[in-house]
Amino acid sequence: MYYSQFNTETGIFSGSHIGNVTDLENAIQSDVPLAPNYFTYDIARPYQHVEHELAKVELGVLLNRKQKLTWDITRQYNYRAEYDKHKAYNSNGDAPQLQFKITTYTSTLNWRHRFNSRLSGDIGINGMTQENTVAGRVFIPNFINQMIGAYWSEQIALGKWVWEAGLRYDVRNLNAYFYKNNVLENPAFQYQNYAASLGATLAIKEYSTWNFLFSRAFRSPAVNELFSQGLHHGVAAIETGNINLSPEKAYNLLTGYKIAKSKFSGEFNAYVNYIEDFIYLRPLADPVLTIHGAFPAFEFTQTNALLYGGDVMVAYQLHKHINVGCKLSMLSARDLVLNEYLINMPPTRIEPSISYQFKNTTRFKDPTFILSSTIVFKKENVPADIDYLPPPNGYALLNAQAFTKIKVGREWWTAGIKGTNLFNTVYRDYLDRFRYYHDAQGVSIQVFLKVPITLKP
Amino acid sequence: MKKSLIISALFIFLSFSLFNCKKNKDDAPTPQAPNEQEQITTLHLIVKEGGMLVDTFSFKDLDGPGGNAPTIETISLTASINYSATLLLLDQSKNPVDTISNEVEEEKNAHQFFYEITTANLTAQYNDVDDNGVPLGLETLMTTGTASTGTLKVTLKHQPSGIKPTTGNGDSSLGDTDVEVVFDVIVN
Repeated sequence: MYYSQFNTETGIFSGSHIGNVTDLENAIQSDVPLAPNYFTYDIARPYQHVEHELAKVELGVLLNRKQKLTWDITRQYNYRAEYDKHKAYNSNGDAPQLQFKITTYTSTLNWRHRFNSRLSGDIGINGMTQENTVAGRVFIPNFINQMIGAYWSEQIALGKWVWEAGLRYDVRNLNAYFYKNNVLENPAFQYQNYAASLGATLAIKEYSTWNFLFSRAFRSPAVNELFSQGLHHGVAAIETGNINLSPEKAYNLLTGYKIAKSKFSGEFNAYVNYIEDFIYLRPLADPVLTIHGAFPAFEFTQTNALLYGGDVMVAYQLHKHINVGCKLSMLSARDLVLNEYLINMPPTRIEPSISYQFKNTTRFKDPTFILSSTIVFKKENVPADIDYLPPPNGYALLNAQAFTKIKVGREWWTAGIKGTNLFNTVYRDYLDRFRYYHDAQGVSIQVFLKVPITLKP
Repeated sequence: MKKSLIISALFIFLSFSLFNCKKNKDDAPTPQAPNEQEQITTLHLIVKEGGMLVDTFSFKDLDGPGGNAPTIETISLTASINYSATLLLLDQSKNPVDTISNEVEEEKNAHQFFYEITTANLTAQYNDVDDNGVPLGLETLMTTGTASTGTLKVTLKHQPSGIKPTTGNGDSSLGDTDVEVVFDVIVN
């Protein structure tokens, strides 16, 4: 059983709440943010207020030594309110300009079975019902989203191979409710489709494996992709949905090699992903003019896409206390219909790190110091002339963290300090929606303390 | 023992959902009527000569930001005339129509309109002030010169709690832009 609650208020960068084309162009061409004339810790308008609440119950029944039935039910409640720079002119006064309330129930019934030591699997059904209401400036409509799915997966060990196969079928009903020209509209959508996968892992040596996975998956359009209409305050852009979107169908082939031999460990993955009706946000040719000014505008559209890339992760123990490691990820993405590169795909990224682990004492356990860097290259393969700004230059950040477990009474607490962008490097990230207006975060230091709370019945 | 644990677990969960969980009192199939959402859809520039209405020039975006593009009329005036002009801000998505400029007038110490004219032989002078004697800009005196063309940019700045100057003619670089509209201008 689990329960959590989270409440926060987050400021929104004033400069992204822009006035018009001129302001937009000034903001885009400026190296210095135009709006904030002073820095403050007080969160004034514009800001967001967010609450999450999660409650979960899980019940498991062991039918016999080979079969287990589990059932869980989860309730999640989210509340988000956006407060514009400006209070409403009318008597609503201090009320938010936009608020969302989403209540989601999910439930899964799973039958885990093991026929013998080599063959085992899961069969189950899961369902979800989600109700969203919105008040204020309409960005997405009220909706009720219901999904039910059934799945079956089996795993079999044959010599040095472990084979896995799975199948699932989903039906999703979506009902939206909104006023258009003062008439209540209630479009209803039903999406149903299957997903399937087949994969295997081969133990080459006791320290290395090779695996492959072929899968077919589908994803039906999300509510914002269908219905977004107007100013998306959180990213200071106008987004337009498309009710004619059809589900994405993805065919994915991935293969990987894993090794863990004495002081060296590594993981190498490569994948090819063909997505039919890939849904993405495409910039419109011009910013959209409103009475408050102009905003960059995007619309949801779809195409057939081919994505291929690879990830590498290596680690080596240099010394009893010193480990070095490096991660690399790269991706290329093509739009097969327009025969151009796809927009907003992550650039190549390298993350080297070195860590020093100190000796344990009776008071301190696993005291560690890690120095790492994030190196991101400029995204080169982008479609020509469709974005409001070309991709920003590559950047390299230096990060460091130190943490340890400390014995306090009978419990182990975890304490640490973490710093990112220690050289206060000025950069903008290609995937950051605010890159049109301002630089990404400068040096930031976090101090953290984790205290376990044990409740004894 | 096990059963009593399960039952107590269920009991705790139910009590959470009944008493503690935040409930959504709104009902999805009955969305908020559009009348409750405030927006500025329309700016009218009402131009008079000697107290007699000459013409009204409008910026209208009835469906709000996005969707259909706004319609913007060209301001066409006669050469060498002294006009008086009044701005009217409306929310025409409401029934009855909400007059936003009345609320700007009520909060005049925190608002100011700015008029920026390029190339056209047209001048705009403030004809109203807030409680501190700083211009507001709902009312102006407009004077035309010889025949010419250009643009007029009307900006409404929201300058709350001490941001709006209390002396002088105001400062367009302060505060937030609530309205910014550019009209083409023809002086015949």
